[in-house]
Amino acid sequence: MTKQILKKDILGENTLRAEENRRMFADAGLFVVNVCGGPGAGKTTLISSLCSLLGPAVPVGVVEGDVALDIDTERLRDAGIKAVQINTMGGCHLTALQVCRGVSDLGMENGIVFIENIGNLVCPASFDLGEACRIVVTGVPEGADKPYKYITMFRSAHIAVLSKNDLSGAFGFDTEYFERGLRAVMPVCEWYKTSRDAATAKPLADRLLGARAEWSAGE
Amino acid sequence: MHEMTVAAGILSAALGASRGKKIRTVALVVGELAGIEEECLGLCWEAVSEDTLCSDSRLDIRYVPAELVCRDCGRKFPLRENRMLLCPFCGGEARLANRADELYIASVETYDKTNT
Ligand SMILES: Nc1nc2c(ncn2[C@@H]2O[C@H](COP(=O)(O)OP(=O)(O)OP(=O)(O)O)[C@@H](O)[C@H]2O)c(=O)[nH]1
Ligand SMILES: [Mg+2]
Ligand SMILES: [Zn+2]
Repeated sequence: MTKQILKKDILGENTLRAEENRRMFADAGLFVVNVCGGPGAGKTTLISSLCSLLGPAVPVGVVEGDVALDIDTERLRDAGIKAVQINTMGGCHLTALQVCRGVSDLGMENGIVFIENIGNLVCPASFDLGEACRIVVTGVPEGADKPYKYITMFRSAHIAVLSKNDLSGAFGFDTEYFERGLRAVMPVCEWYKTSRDAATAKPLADRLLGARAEWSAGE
Repeated sequence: MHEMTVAAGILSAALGASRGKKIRTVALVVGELAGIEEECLGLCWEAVSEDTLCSDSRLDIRYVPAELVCRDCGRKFPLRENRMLLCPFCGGEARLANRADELYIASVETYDKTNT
């Protein structure tokens, strides 16, 4: 019997591709934001709000990931937002390679690109897409325990967003419990509340502009 | 949920290291927070390794538990059975103390004879 020591990262191929993406995005001046969250958490709604707030000042585009169909892409295009669709045909997460193609298809330079990941609070956490910023969205109706149950996802995010705050009365959302979970698992606890009205995403839009400025200075 | 992707990744790495010999064991290191379900990975492994040099090989998984540390008293304790993320000693708030997201092949063991 012969034993060979390998120490080989099983998702290493994706990680390498993600590093290439990071270089490609930097060269193109694209600040890329990976938006993750469970099905129906409010990812498309948030991206649409952010694009309408940021759009006048900065070129924005969206790479829309879905298991099937292009409903969300049509929704964004109807709102005048540049968007391309990726279908994973059942795949539970986007990969760096898919995102490389999607961002290339957008044909943008010097702007902000939002990637809407597959609705899933588990798998997308383990796949680096080469993004500069990762946002995890969870909605009031999903309950305040999400950071406790989906630790890997919340830990991997730079920013958490609690959507559907207009519904917090009806759902009796325990904000203190939610925030304690975020503090326990996020390396730096930073989170924002949004509602249906796009204007509620303004503090986050401003934060992204600031993060983009810092990012360009660091490149 | 992407255990199939992971199994396929293990297969290509193990075959790459096999040098034409049949594989006996693939040793993996898997963190508690890597998002991998062992039983599911085992089933996927059986499926992808069928009719290859890895068929009938064993996945030997070393599991890395996640740990918490108390912000108040500094004591460490396992995440398991601590899902409220509070310190069992003083009730203080805890935070994650390690990554526990390991997912790699540590080693591959082959039989000595070629292609048996
Ligand atoms: N009341 C309220 N409804 C919201 C809010 N955000 C999203 N919704 C609604 O929730 C539903 C799902 O929102 P989407 O933005 O499509 O969610 P998603 O995460 O993109 O969903 P998938 O792409 O299917 O995973 C839609 O009916 C939205 O109108 C919010 O802040 N308040
Ligand atoms: Mg959507
Ligand atoms: Zn303590």
